[in-house]
Amino acid sequence: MKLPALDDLIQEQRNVYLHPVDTSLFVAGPPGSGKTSVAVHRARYLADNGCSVALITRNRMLVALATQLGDPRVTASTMHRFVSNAYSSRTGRMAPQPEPYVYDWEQLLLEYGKLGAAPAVDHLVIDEAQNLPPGFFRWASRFAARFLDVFADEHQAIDDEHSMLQEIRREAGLQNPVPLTLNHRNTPEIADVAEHFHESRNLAPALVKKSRGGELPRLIEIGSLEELVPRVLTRFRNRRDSVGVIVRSRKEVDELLQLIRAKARPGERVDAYTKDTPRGAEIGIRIVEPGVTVLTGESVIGLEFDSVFLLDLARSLPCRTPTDRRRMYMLCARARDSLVLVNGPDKLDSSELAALPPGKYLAR
Amino acid sequence: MRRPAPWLAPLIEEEVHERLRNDPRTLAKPGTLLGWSHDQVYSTVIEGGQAEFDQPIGDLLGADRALLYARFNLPRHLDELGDAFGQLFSSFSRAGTPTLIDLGCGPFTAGLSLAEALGPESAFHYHGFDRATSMGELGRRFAEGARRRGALHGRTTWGFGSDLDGHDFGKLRNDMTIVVASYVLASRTIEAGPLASSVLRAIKRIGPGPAVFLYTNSATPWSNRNFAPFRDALVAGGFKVVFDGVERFLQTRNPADLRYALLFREAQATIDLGGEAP
Repeated sequence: MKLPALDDLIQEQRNVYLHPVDTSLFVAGPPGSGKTSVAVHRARYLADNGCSVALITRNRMLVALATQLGDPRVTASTMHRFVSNAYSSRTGRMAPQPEPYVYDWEQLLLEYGKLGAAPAVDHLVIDEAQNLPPGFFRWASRFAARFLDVFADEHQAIDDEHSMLQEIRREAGLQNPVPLTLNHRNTPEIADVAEHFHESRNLAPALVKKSRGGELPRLIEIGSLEELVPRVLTRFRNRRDSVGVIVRSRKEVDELLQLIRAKARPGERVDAYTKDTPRGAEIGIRIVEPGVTVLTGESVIGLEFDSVFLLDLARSLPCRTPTDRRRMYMLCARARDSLVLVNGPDKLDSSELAALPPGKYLAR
Repeated sequence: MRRPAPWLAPLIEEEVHERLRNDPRTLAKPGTLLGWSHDQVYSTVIEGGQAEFDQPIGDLLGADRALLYARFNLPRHLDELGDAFGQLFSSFSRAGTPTLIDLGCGPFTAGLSLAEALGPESAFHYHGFDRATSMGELGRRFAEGARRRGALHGRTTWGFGSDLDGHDFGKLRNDMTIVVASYVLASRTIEAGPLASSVLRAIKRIGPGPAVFLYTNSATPWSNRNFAPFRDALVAGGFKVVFDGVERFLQTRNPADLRYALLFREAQATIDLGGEAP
């Protein structure tokens, strides 16, 4: 027989950031597939080709990260800041918000329709688009930019403040998304734990690039937050890498931040980030640099750390809904090299423990 | 001659030859296999490989007929698939765990060959389909025996069934899918079009990754009468023909002409979200 090697048959995935500049782009990728990096590259490529570009995402920490990774020609902002600035610069008024951070999109569309003004920028590059409301895509595609470059993961629940891939396609008038298929972030061992919770029939987990032989994720028990502090600091001091500690509530963030700072040595970075972090403070949090960052499960979307201690488990376990499973998948996939699931201070019950991966994937 | 992996011959010796040799029916009639002459086995018991293996014949049950099939046909099929996989996987850098669909699988035949090609360092997911449950039962013995001998990666999985459309392939994944149809299209009961449609649906259920289809058969026109419509249906489903031809296959004990083909489909360029895109 004379057959070719498989490597000679498979074409490498085309770089999506080289997609033509005079069209919109829709990219779907699971956690770890490099959406934020590709979005930043895409923004830079568009700027290199003379386009005016704005980079949009939902949370301010991700904006800060995009700014750290990005290009001074590209302005990065949250959706809220972008929409409110765009509206007030055009009308001189505050954008209609029936409640804080929730826009009346129908009213916005109506007013913009009457104004009939042309889009202000060539491209809006939108990262973590699943965390933005459907109305934003309808407004953005008609009035904010000539073209949209949308990078999204799946969101499985139907609500007003998030978008499923189908909703993004429909509201923004996009074609089916191009998939990102390689996982550049997680070790295979961490991906095994994260994928235990995966169940989508649209978006498959990305193929892990790293080789096996990494640390097996662990489940540990603690009786109090104080017990966790030496574990976190020991990890940081042994590896000098970025450590993320993910808790459920802002109160826990504050409590744990004080406990870790009390035991940290001078020069050891210990930060916290929640949606209530004072505006602008996130710019000073260098999460890509060695140190400890404490944050909530909501605030960690799109971010990654070398090591993760995940305490925010009870909110999702025993994973009765697709949203619960998706949240666990997303949270576990924040870790690059080390993942520790933390049972405590409030202990998980037997059904919650049973929903975790078996021992060959998650050491107890 | 091909040089098989060192674990393969002892595995076949244990699972096939020893069992046949030590069976009371063989011991009662020396020179026979379970009491049947070699000619009778080939022509009547396994009907050249196309028998209804689950049907008892004389004092032989389905398990006996599957065992005799393995005794006669397995070595040659392993030589052919081993040679093919050896070439296909001579360079394979893609991450992930391939999924193997083995149509008319016999006793884990393509699973053994893929295990040889990948070695115990790489895992794969094997799904074997055969009308004869006796083949699946023997296939499980081979898979477990291969695992005991350290030939399979710890995360390699296997399963056997007879209903491709109703089969659960597990969670959606981006890994490569390999479909093997070794001699199965010669079967009297195969309908090429519906089977090709089932294969395309199965690949879609597995995920959007790249897909390979490998075909082997004897070279006679009758044996290959189903292949053209089957191949054309796969091409209509997005596959491209990489090779399709006949060649003298020398890497086996009794060289003969072999019809083989390779078809390939790239990973899906976009995700089908259902409904209509604008």
